[in-house]
Amino acid sequence: MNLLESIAADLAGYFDPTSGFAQAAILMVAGADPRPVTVIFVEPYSALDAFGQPAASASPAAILRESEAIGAAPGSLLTIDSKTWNVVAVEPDGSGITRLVLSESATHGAPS
Amino acid sequence: MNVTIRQRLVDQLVLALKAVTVEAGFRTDAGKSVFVWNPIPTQKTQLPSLNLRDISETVTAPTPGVLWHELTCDVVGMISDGQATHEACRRLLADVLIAIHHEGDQRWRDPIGLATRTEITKTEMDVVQEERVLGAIRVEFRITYKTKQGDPFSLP
Repeated sequence: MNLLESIAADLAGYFDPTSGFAQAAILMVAGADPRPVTVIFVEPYSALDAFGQPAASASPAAILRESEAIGAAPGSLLTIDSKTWNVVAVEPDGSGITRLVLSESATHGAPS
Repeated sequence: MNVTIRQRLVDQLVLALKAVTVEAGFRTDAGKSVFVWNPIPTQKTQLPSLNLRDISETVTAPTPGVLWHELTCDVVGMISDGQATHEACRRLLADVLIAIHHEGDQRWRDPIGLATRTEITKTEMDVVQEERVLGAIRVEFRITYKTKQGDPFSLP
Protein backbone atom coordinates (compact mmCIF):
# COMPACT_ATOMS: atom_id res chain seq x y z
CA MET A 1 0.00 0.00 0.00
CA ASN A 2 1.51 3.35 -1.01
CA LEU A 3 1.18 6.52 1.04
CA LEU A 4 -1.89 7.86 -0.77
CA GLU A 5 -3.67 4.53 -0.39
CA SER A 6 -2.73 4.49 3.27
CA ILE A 7 -4.13 7.99 3.81
CA ALA A 8 -7.32 7.04 1.94
CA ALA A 9 -7.73 3.98 4.16
CA ASP A 10 -7.26 6.07 7.28
CA LEU A 11 -9.83 8.63 6.10
CA ALA A 12 -12.30 5.87 5.28
CA GLY A 13 -12.31 4.83 8.92
CA TYR A 14 -12.40 8.41 10.13
CA PHE A 15 -15.43 9.24 8.01
CA ASP A 16 -17.24 5.94 8.53
CA PRO A 17 -20.74 6.95 9.73
CA THR A 18 -21.13 3.69 11.63
CA SER A 19 -17.84 3.22 13.44
CA GLY A 20 -16.22 6.63 12.83
CA PHE A 21 -17.20 10.19 13.63
CA ALA A 22 -19.13 11.22 10.54
CA GLN A 23 -22.77 11.51 9.60
CA ALA A 24 -24.72 11.67 6.36
CA ALA A 25 -25.46 15.04 4.79
CA ILE A 26 -26.67 16.46 1.49
CA LEU A 27 -24.47 18.92 -0.38
CA MET A 28 -26.17 21.25 -2.87
CA VAL A 29 -23.77 22.86 -5.30
CA ALA A 30 -24.86 25.39 -7.92
CA GLY A 31 -25.61 23.78 -11.26
CA ALA A 32 -25.64 20.21 -9.98
CA ASP A 33 -28.08 17.81 -8.37
CA PRO A 34 -27.94 17.50 -4.57
CA ARG A 35 -25.61 14.68 -3.59
CA PRO A 36 -25.02 12.69 -0.43
CA VAL A 37 -21.77 13.30 1.40
CA THR A 38 -20.35 12.19 4.71
CA VAL A 39 -19.28 14.94 7.08
CA ILE A 40 -18.08 15.52 10.59
CA PHE A 41 -20.08 18.43 11.95
CA VAL A 42 -18.59 20.67 14.61
CA GLU A 43 -20.03 23.78 16.21
CA PRO A 44 -17.62 25.10 18.84
CA TYR A 45 -18.53 28.09 20.97
CA SER A 46 -16.83 31.34 20.15
CA ALA A 47 -17.06 34.85 21.54
CA LEU A 48 -17.08 37.74 19.12
CA ASP A 49 -15.81 41.13 20.20
CA ALA A 50 -18.03 44.08 19.36
CA PHE A 51 -16.20 47.24 20.38
CA GLY A 52 -15.15 45.62 23.65
CA GLN A 53 -18.52 44.00 24.31
CA PRO A 54 -18.44 40.20 23.95
CA ALA A 55 -21.15 38.41 21.98
CA ALA A 56 -21.76 34.69 22.24
CA SER A 57 -21.45 32.92 18.93
CA ALA A 58 -20.47 29.60 17.41
CA SER A 59 -18.26 28.56 14.52
CA PRO A 60 -20.13 25.75 12.75
CA ALA A 61 -18.21 23.78 10.17
CA ALA A 62 -18.38 20.51 8.30
CA ILE A 63 -15.28 18.46 7.64
CA LEU A 64 -15.33 16.08 4.69
CA ARG A 65 -13.09 14.35 2.21
CA GLU A 66 -11.78 16.70 -0.45
CA SER A 67 -13.07 14.31 -3.12
CA GLU A 68 -16.61 14.81 -1.81
CA ALA A 69 -16.26 18.59 -1.59
CA ILE A 70 -15.64 19.10 -5.29
CA GLY A 71 -17.62 22.08 -6.55
CA ALA A 72 -18.47 23.35 -3.08
CA ALA A 73 -18.21 27.13 -2.93
CA PRO A 74 -19.65 30.07 -0.99
CA GLY A 75 -23.36 29.92 -1.72
CA SER A 76 -23.56 26.11 -1.65
CA LEU A 77 -25.96 24.55 0.83
CA LEU A 78 -25.39 21.67 3.21
CA THR A 79 -28.24 19.87 4.96
CA ILE A 80 -27.36 18.03 8.17
CA ASP A 81 -30.00 16.54 10.47
CA SER A 82 -32.77 18.36 8.54
CA LYS A 83 -31.11 21.74 9.05
CA THR A 84 -29.79 23.52 5.98
CA TRP A 85 -26.63 25.58 6.37
CA ASN A 86 -25.08 28.09 4.01
CA VAL A 87 -21.50 27.42 2.99
CA VAL A 88 -19.64 30.70 3.44
CA ALA A 89 -16.08 29.47 2.90
CA VAL A 90 -14.29 26.38 1.63
CA GLU A 91 -10.96 25.53 3.27
CA PRO A 92 -9.02 22.56 1.83
CA ASP A 93 -6.12 21.63 4.11
CA GLY A 94 -4.01 20.03 1.39
CA SER A 95 -4.04 16.58 2.97
CA GLY A 96 -7.30 15.34 1.46
CA ILE A 97 -9.66 16.96 3.94
CA THR A 98 -11.78 20.06 3.35
CA ARG A 99 -13.49 22.22 5.94
CA LEU A 100 -16.73 23.94 4.94
CA VAL A 101 -17.38 27.01 7.06
CA LEU A 102 -21.13 27.21 7.69
CA SER A 103 -23.58 29.90 8.68
CA GLU A 104 -27.31 30.19 9.23
CA SER A 105 -27.27 33.20 6.90
CA ALA A 106 -26.17 33.38 3.30
CA THR A 107 -22.76 34.90 2.98
CA HIS A 108 -22.79 38.55 3.93
CA GLY A 109 -19.99 39.22 1.51
CA ALA A 110 -22.04 38.30 -1.56
CA PRO A 111 -22.16 40.95 -4.28
CA SER A 112 -25.12 43.29 -3.78
CA MET B 1 -29.79 62.77 48.10
CA ASN B 2 -27.35 59.86 48.26
CA VAL B 3 -27.04 59.43 44.49
CA THR B 4 -24.24 61.09 42.54
CA ILE B 5 -25.05 63.35 39.61
CA ARG B 6 -23.14 60.89 37.41
CA GLN B 7 -25.36 58.04 38.58
CA ARG B 8 -28.48 60.14 37.96
CA LEU B 9 -27.24 60.85 34.43
CA VAL B 10 -26.67 57.15 33.79
CA ASP B 11 -30.16 56.41 35.11
CA GLN B 12 -31.62 58.97 32.70
CA LEU B 13 -29.63 57.53 29.81
CA VAL B 14 -30.93 54.05 30.58
CA LEU B 15 -34.49 55.36 30.57
CA ALA B 16 -33.90 57.02 27.20
CA LEU B 17 -32.41 53.83 25.73
CA LYS B 18 -35.24 51.68 27.11
CA ALA B 19 -37.65 53.88 25.17
CA VAL B 20 -36.21 52.56 21.88
CA THR B 21 -39.08 50.36 20.72
CA VAL B 22 -40.93 50.04 17.45
CA GLU B 23 -44.13 50.70 19.36
CA ALA B 24 -42.73 54.09 20.41
CA GLY B 25 -41.85 55.02 16.84
CA PHE B 26 -38.26 53.83 16.66
CA ARG B 27 -36.99 51.45 13.98
CA THR B 28 -35.81 48.67 16.28
CA ASP B 29 -36.78 47.08 19.60
CA ALA B 30 -33.30 47.39 21.08
CA GLY B 31 -34.78 49.17 24.11
CA LYS B 32 -36.17 45.84 25.29
CA SER B 33 -32.64 44.60 25.93
CA VAL B 34 -30.66 47.38 27.63
CA PHE B 35 -27.61 46.69 29.78
CA VAL B 36 -25.17 48.84 31.73
CA TRP B 37 -21.58 47.60 31.69
CA ASN B 38 -22.71 44.11 30.75
CA PRO B 39 -19.73 41.79 31.43
CA ILE B 40 -21.50 38.70 30.08
CA PRO B 41 -21.35 37.84 26.37
CA THR B 42 -24.56 38.98 24.72
CA GLN B 43 -26.68 35.99 23.68
CA LYS B 44 -28.40 35.79 20.31
CA THR B 45 -31.76 35.60 22.08
CA GLN B 46 -31.04 39.07 23.52
CA LEU B 47 -30.63 40.79 20.15
CA PRO B 48 -31.08 43.56 19.33
CA SER B 49 -29.39 44.89 22.42
CA LEU B 50 -27.77 48.03 23.81
CA ASN B 51 -24.97 48.28 26.38
CA LEU B 52 -24.25 51.62 28.05
CA ARG B 53 -20.82 52.40 29.50
CA ASP B 54 -19.79 55.59 31.31
CA ILE B 55 -16.11 55.26 30.50
CA SER B 56 -14.12 58.24 31.67
CA GLU B 57 -14.40 61.74 32.97
CA THR B 58 -12.21 64.80 32.94
CA VAL B 59 -12.73 67.37 35.67
CA THR B 60 -11.75 71.02 35.80
CA ALA B 61 -12.43 73.81 38.27
CA PRO B 62 -12.49 77.08 36.33
CA THR B 63 -14.83 78.66 38.87
CA PRO B 64 -14.22 78.56 42.65
CA GLY B 65 -16.50 76.03 44.33
CA VAL B 66 -17.69 74.45 41.08
CA LEU B 67 -16.35 71.40 39.24
CA TRP B 68 -16.98 71.00 35.54
CA HIS B 69 -17.18 67.37 34.43
CA GLU B 70 -16.87 66.04 30.89
CA LEU B 71 -18.19 62.50 31.04
CA THR B 72 -17.40 60.28 28.06
CA CYS B 73 -19.88 57.45 27.49
CA ASP B 74 -20.65 55.02 24.75
CA VAL B 75 -23.48 52.76 23.71
CA VAL B 76 -22.63 49.51 21.94
CA GLY B 77 -25.56 48.08 20.04
CA MET B 78 -25.83 44.65 18.45
CA ILE B 79 -28.31 43.40 15.90
CA SER B 80 -28.65 40.51 13.45
CA ASP B 81 -30.75 40.43 10.30
CA GLY B 82 -29.07 38.03 7.88
CA GLN B 83 -27.72 39.64 4.74
CA ALA B 84 -29.52 42.88 5.61
CA THR B 85 -27.60 43.24 8.87
CA HIS B 86 -25.66 46.26 7.66
CA GLU B 87 -28.95 48.05 6.97
CA ALA B 88 -30.27 47.04 10.39
CA CYS B 89 -27.09 48.51 11.89
CA ARG B 90 -27.84 51.89 10.35
CA ARG B 91 -31.39 51.80 11.71
CA LEU B 92 -30.07 50.91 15.17
CA LEU B 93 -27.51 53.69 14.92
CA ALA B 94 -30.27 56.18 14.08
CA ASP B 95 -32.35 54.97 17.02
CA VAL B 96 -29.48 55.45 19.47
CA LEU B 97 -28.66 58.91 18.12
CA ILE B 98 -32.29 59.98 18.51
CA ALA B 99 -32.51 58.49 22.00
CA ILE B 100 -29.38 60.25 23.19
CA HIS B 101 -30.56 63.56 21.83
CA HIS B 102 -33.65 62.97 23.91
CA GLU B 103 -36.11 64.86 21.76
CA GLY B 104 -33.74 67.80 21.48
CA ASP B 105 -33.20 68.07 25.22
CA GLN B 106 -29.52 67.52 25.98
CA ARG B 107 -29.76 68.36 29.66
CA TRP B 108 -31.19 65.12 31.09
CA ARG B 109 -33.93 66.50 33.33
CA ASP B 110 -34.47 64.67 36.63
CA PRO B 111 -36.63 66.74 37.12
CA ILE B 112 -34.30 69.68 36.48
CA GLY B 113 -31.49 69.63 33.96
CA LEU B 114 -28.54 67.65 35.27
CA ALA B 115 -26.20 68.50 32.41
CA THR B 116 -25.13 71.52 30.46
CA ARG B 117 -25.00 69.73 27.14
CA THR B 118 -24.61 66.39 25.37
CA GLU B 119 -22.50 65.99 22.26
CA ILE B 120 -22.16 62.99 19.96
CA THR B 121 -18.45 62.65 19.24
CA LYS B 122 -18.13 59.47 17.15
CA THR B 123 -20.08 56.61 15.61
CA GLU B 124 -18.73 53.28 14.43
CA MET B 125 -20.15 50.17 12.81
CA ASP B 126 -18.94 46.64 12.12
CA VAL B 127 -20.41 43.46 10.64
CA VAL B 128 -19.01 39.96 11.16
CA GLN B 129 -20.27 36.52 10.22
CA GLU B 130 -19.98 33.20 12.00
CA GLU B 131 -22.96 31.09 13.01
CA ARG B 132 -24.99 34.14 11.96
CA VAL B 133 -24.32 37.62 10.70
CA LEU B 134 -23.82 39.97 13.63
CA GLY B 135 -23.78 43.72 13.34
CA ALA B 136 -22.45 46.07 15.96
CA ILE B 137 -22.64 49.82 16.29
CA ARG B 138 -21.00 52.16 18.76
CA VAL B 139 -22.03 55.69 19.60
CA GLU B 140 -19.61 57.73 21.67
CA PHE B 141 -20.81 60.90 23.33
CA ARG B 142 -19.78 63.42 25.94
CA ILE B 143 -21.96 64.92 28.64
CA THR B 144 -20.88 68.15 30.31
CA TYR B 145 -22.21 68.77 33.81
CA LYS B 146 -21.34 70.68 36.97
CA THR B 147 -21.24 69.76 40.65
CA LYS B 148 -20.30 71.57 43.82
CA GLN B 149 -16.59 71.16 44.48
CA GLY B 150 -16.08 68.22 46.85
CA ASP B 151 -19.71 67.20 46.57
CA PRO B 152 -20.45 64.88 43.59
CA PHE B 153 -24.04 64.56 44.82
CA SER B 154 -25.09 68.17 44.36
CA LEU B 155 -25.54 70.61 41.53
CA PRO B 156 -23.98 74.02 42.16
